[in-house]
Amino acid sequence: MKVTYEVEKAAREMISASCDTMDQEDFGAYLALCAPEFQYAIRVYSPEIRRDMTWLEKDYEHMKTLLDLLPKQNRDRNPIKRHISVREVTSTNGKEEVTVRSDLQVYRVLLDGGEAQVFAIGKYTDRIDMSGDEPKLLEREVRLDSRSLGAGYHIPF
Amino acid sequence: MARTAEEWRKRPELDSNLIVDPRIYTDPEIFREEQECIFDKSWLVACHESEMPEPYDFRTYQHPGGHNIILVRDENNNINAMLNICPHRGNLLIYEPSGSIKGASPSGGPKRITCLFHAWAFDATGECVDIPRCAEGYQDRVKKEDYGLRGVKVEVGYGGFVWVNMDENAPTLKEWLGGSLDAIDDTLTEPLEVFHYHRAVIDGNFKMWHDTNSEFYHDYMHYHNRITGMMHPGYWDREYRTFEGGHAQVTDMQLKYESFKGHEKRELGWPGLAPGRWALVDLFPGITFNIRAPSMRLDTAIPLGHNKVLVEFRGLGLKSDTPEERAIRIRDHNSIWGPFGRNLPEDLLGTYGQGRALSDPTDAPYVLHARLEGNKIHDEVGMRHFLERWQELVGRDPSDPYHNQPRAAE
Ligand code: FES
Ligand SMILES: [Fe+2]
Repeated sequence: MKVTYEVEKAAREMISASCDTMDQEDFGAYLALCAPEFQYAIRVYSPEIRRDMTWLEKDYEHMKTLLDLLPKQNRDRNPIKRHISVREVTSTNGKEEVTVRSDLQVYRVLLDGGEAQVFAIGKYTDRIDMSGDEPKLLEREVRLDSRSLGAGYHIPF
Repeated sequence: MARTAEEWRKRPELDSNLIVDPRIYTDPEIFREEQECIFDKSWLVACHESEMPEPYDFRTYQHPGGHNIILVRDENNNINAMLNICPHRGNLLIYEPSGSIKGASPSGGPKRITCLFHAWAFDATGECVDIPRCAEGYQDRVKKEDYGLRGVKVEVGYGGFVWVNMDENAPTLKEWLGGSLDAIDDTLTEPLEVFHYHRAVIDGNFKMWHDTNSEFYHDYMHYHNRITGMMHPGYWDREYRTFEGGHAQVTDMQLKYESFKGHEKRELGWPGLAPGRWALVDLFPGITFNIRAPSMRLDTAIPLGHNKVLVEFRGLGLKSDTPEERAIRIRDHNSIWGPFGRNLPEDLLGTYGQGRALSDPTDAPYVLHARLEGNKIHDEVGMRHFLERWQELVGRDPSDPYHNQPRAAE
């Protein structure tokens, strides 16, 4: 498909909404942005073992279960904020679909005192179905550049 | 009603091996003793041989005694360990965590460790092979034969792990393990490969992390473990077995993963373990072998100070895995034990919380290691057994580390 200003705008707004809903822990709204065939992965390269690693891999159903069970989890309650800068929107092989590459910065804001800390940096590569009324997220790969997350985090980026 | 300061600091009326003065976790002087009496004398896992698969591959290791170590595989496939210090003027020889010396470096030729400062060069066994303009500068006062690197005792074994010991008079690895890993040797028969590595740095003492790995009472913290373990009868039969040297094993159980909504079906096992079974050994002073079919996790605790610990986490599969099997092991490992897993961040939050709460040594209460349940799963014998060994080596009583000297606040 042709990547017009409107297509790019719709894709960018959809990605922003996916970040906002996760930041607000409104997981129902996040999942509503995803297609049923949604695939999510967090990948990282380790220079220590010189291997590419997959830190999390979920389809729609397993992502939903993970998010549904969060209230039962003891977790770091300091909220995180996902910031993105869209770098490139390209069309995918004649389909009503775009691939969007964005830079990602994740900040953590401490509940006690409000200090903002850089929590992680990386990239999103998103595949988005543009054929319906609303764009739907088909696939998200989070490619992290940073690898040190303290205790870790129960909510995906 | 809350207790007064005096009541709070009163020694509980329990046997001395059941209570701990938490200043053993927070005193910088005790930590220096631990570096010398424990870490410089223990066999520690530096890495796994699969992290340096080819001749001339290297890996570095930050030793808890404060030493920088290089591991290099030589052309005969032997792994050598040396201090990462150039004997000329003390520069670091290798700066990256991992790589190969097979090719030339900017300062020197191939198959050598060349110091980037003045280009002294060493082979993969640590022998000095070149000193630039040696005769011109040193005449015959300095010879390369006399300037090899400092070697470190190294053994490869128990699943292909690379173990080092700073003490040249240390017992063999087998003697030091006291039979603890022999108890799970049927799970370590096949060549293993590391697929996961990450670190966590936590403001807490290394013993707090090892304690968490050495007791299961904290399964109350993990929804995942309550559902897949504690709710099922085999859980309460799991038992601690202790071994000489401060090591402990927790016997196997069958986990009921189907009870945890969203878990993949487990059909893939592990050598010596049926699908969903679990083997665990905690080694003194901070290593945990943790095999929960279909994947294995290895923790190594590296204290960076009395109140800071770096924990290295490795995930392992079998070298013989098909890509499909490997993908299952990775997904399984990381859904529980990865940085975004269900359990690991909870465990680390526990250590962080202890580190923060006990950081004020003037108002430390006594803490309890007092659960006695016939060595069954919620018994705290694992932590007590660790501290018995600790007391032998450090020479302090964990319940009275200052020999009845008044507590700081009194
Ligand atoms: S310090 Fe290494 S060659 Fe001079
Ligand atoms: Fe745990």
